[in-house]
Amino acid sequence: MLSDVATDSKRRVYAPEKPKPERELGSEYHDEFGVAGPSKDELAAAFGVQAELANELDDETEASTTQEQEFSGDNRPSGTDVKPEKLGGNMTNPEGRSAEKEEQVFCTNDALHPSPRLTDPEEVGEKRSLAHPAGTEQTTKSPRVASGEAPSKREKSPDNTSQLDQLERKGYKPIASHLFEGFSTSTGGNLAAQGDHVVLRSDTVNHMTPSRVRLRIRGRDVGRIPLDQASHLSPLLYHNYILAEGFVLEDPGPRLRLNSSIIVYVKVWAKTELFGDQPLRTDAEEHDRSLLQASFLNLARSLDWIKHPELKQGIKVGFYMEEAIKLTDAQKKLADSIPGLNCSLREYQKHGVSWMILREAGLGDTNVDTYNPLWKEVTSLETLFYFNPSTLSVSLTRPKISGESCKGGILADEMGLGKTVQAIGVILANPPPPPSESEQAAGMKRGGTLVVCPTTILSQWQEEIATHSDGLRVAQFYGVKRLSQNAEVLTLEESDVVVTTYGILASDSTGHKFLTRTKWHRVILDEAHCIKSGKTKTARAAFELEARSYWCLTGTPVQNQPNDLYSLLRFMKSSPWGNQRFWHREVMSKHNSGSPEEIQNARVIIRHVLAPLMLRRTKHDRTPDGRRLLELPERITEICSIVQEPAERDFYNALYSRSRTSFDTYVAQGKVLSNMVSVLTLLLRLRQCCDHPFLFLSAPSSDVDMMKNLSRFAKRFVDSSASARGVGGVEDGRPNQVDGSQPSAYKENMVKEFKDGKRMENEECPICLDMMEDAVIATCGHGACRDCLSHCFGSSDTAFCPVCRAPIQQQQVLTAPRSSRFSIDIKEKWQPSSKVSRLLADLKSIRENSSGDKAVVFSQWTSMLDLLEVPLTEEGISFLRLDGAVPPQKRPIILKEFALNSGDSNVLLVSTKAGGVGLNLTMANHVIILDPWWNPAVEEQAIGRVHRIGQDKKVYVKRYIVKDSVEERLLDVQRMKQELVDGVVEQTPAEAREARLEEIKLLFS
Amino acid sequence: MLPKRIIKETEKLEAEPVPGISAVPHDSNPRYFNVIIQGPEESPYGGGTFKLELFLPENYPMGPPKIRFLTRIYHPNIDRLGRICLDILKDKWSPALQIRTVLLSIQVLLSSPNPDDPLNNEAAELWLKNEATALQTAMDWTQLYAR
Repeated sequence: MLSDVATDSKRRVYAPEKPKPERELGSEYHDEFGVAGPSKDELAAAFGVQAELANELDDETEASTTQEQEFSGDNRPSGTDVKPEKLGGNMTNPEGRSAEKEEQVFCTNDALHPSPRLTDPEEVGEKRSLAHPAGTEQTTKSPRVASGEAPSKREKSPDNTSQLDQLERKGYKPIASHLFEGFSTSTGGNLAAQGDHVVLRSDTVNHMTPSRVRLRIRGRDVGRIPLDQASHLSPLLYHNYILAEGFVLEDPGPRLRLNSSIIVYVKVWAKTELFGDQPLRTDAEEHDRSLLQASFLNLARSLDWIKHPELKQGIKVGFYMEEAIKLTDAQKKLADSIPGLNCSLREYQKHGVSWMILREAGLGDTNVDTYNPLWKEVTSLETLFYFNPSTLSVSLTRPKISGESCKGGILADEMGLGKTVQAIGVILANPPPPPSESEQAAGMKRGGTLVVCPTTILSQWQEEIATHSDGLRVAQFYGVKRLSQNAEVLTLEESDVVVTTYGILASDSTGHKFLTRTKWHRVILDEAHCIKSGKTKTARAAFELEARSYWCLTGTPVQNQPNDLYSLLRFMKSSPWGNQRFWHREVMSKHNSGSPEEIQNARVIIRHVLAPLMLRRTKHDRTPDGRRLLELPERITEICSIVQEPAERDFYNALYSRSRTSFDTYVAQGKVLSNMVSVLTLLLRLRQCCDHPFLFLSAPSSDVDMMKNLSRFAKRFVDSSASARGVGGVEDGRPNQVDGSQPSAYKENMVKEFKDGKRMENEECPICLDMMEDAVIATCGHGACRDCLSHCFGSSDTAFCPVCRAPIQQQQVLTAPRSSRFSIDIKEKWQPSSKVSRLLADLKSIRENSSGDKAVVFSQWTSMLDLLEVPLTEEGISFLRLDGAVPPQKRPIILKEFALNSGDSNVLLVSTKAGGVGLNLTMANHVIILDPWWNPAVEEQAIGRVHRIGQDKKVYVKRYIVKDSVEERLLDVQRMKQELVDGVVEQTPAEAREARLEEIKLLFS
Repeated sequence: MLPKRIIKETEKLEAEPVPGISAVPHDSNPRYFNVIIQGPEESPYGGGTFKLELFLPENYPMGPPKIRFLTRIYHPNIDRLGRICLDILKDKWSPALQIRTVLLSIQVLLSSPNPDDPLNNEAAELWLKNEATALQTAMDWTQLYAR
């Protein structure tokens, strides 16, 4: 109740603009609170410094305080959730403080170690009671006497209004008056009385954990304010960015006890410098200031000074809903006619491009008089100022739009809404300006637009630019030819857009540094979540890129945790969020705190950060006139429950009961989690068995075709070593200088072994330690999975063999001879499985019932695709195939052939890994998913290849599920996973482990 | 999610431990290992039990693990902070190496210090000037810190 009164009356009580006579001030206090307060004189003097008086009293109470200091180091608080009142609230000794510092350093360095716990509260309580007798003995002087003495002394002190004026002269602005309910940390008499002058001060500061704010009365620190209020106040007080002085509002009684309440009424002043209207000397100081500004806003929010809803709850991110990026009609027209754009944009894409154009101009158009709409005015406090909820910064003057720190943003439209075409739109609409004079003088060449994307969609970018634009010159910065100096110059001279990959970016940043050295007009990161982990070489290289504007294109800006976002902000040079310390304090420390309230706060902040920077639309969004954003043709999903034939069922049951026995053994021994690989293998076999029992059987075969392939391989392999003349090789497994003209004995031996039926895929890959998948062999004769070895090359063409360290070249890596994967001759002994029969029937009915409909068949096992080739060929259904072994250059050719209307290949077999990302398969409108995946999102991705922009037919999706099998239970797991993704359930790591175990038990049930 | 390779390595370390070496992942972070290496008997570190910490960074196995002695040790290739000068932990890293092989290499490094490529200059100088004193110091430190 008191605080209500105080807030209402504060401006009258303390109106420095129109200083009132001291008498009136006092009487008002009297009248309003209706309590027997101090005399008017006393109150008037309340602002005076009372050091002399306090010094007199010091000697008498010293004994009691020293005694307390001896043990107060014990009760270090470890978080705001601990009520200091319960702990005796004594925090005044220096040891306690230094111990706390250590703890803080510890926490930030190593999250593995839990921070030290509080000592048992009972123990503290015991010590506290020990302190009491000492305190009581000290009570000799009556407090009344003290306060009776006070007025006479105070008359000597300068009058208070002049002191307030001084503050203003020293560059402080009045902010607000506030009632704090503090508590005492000292015992004794004459420590404080009503009307005593009180100063809030802080002598430690740490941005990560809350520090204390002490109440200094009569020259001594007699109490503190609660930690939750102190946390935002202390850094500000420590750096003198805030002054807080006032008086004791209620008489705390004749004798202070530990923890008795001290209610003070304090006026808060903020240093003009805090508002950041003058630049500071160094970047470091700027960073500190941005931290302090955030503290100030947090303080204002926590004390309820600013009631703006923007600070309380987040802003919704999105285009049509978002105030901050609502466009005027004129702005919407920006994208109506883009010179050189060859295709018509959909309405929402035009909005997107307009937004991008505006962001590149620094949010608004070039009219500098436009005020930045993100800044909100605060009128409720004594000084009018502005704050920006998305950067947590404050300013005394209303910032103009040109002050926007980061040009560019995150275009996070959902997959399939056409991010690429919008990016091409902005590239065309906003070409680089002619070089400035100084640039010309310096002979500096600015680049145009740099596009960085995953290797798989490199050529897709080039094609899309070619089809959608007139006259944009594109160059690939990729492959060996990029390494000549001349190529760099040509690349810049002769192209408007340079396309490269993340791998090249990473290796270039430690090599030629062409990409990071060039000043670009614009950098676009496609699939920008590739840099989500800020510590990778790729991400660090991306941070070094320099441009006028920065764009991130991604459908999933946050994949796992908020930190994913930090990398994007850092890349965009967003201030202050690109600063790690700021990000960590304002977002991560809250997010990791474990308290639901703080986590909510972190989410609010993230929404604020993103509000101006990010544009995200989903397929389900509606335009203002209520139409769906993207009218995609209808999609019909059917789960086909498949009943196995008796023979097949018996096989499955036999396998199941054997797997079940193994699994039960693991469960009984409590070793499921430590034998996860074996358990997953059991499951894998069961799942494969649902597709076709043949999949389960694999061993080297001796069929004739294979032998033919083998001699071809042997020839190439031996040839390749001849062409690798002069390159270090291997002999008998040991590194050696090899005589290039002769194939080494080791290799001859290998070829012989291969002829004898030895197969790489039955060996362990030295890199993933798993059975080799799609094995390849380097010139030195060592093998690995194709995928694993390609990691060794990164973006360069040469690398060292992981096993023998011989230099190897990417072009000379050979595909190892593959055995047919099946132990039986699948052609001779062909048996269809129920799933395969169903597939054949479905494909036939598609062919018969429709004109030119095409189907995409997904499986996660390439061996299943191998298997399918047999019946498809037999039935005369021609098909194409796309899996991981198809090199990127060949993919577009396959897709083109599939798209041909005249072509008779109406079926495309795709492996999930190959077809998951970036592919556009809209030429088909039937999707058949042969086997369910662990993760429903992957399945959705696969369907999204077909059901996306450009699809004009009804899409039919069929998911094959074998009845009463592991697949049916996998569907349940998928459902659980979806709930997790939807945020219905939140898990701790321990719970997640537990849940995983449950999932697996469910699969075996 | 934890790459399968790390799971495999962890399982194998548990199932077939290397003599004189133990590596146990931390409960809350499967990429962080508490490592214990027994000092090789024939070396001045014999009888000592050395604690190390090992961390598998995000890019593992394409990049080397980070590893550091926690127990103080007097060795020309190990500095005061426990950092180790070993080529396979730096430029000679290969993804075909594993936790197991790295720890074996460190065990070998204890048996055969290489004062010509020092990280701890002081120790290396002593090793070159007066090997007997150096070995004695290493033994003393082992008694002092690694018991």
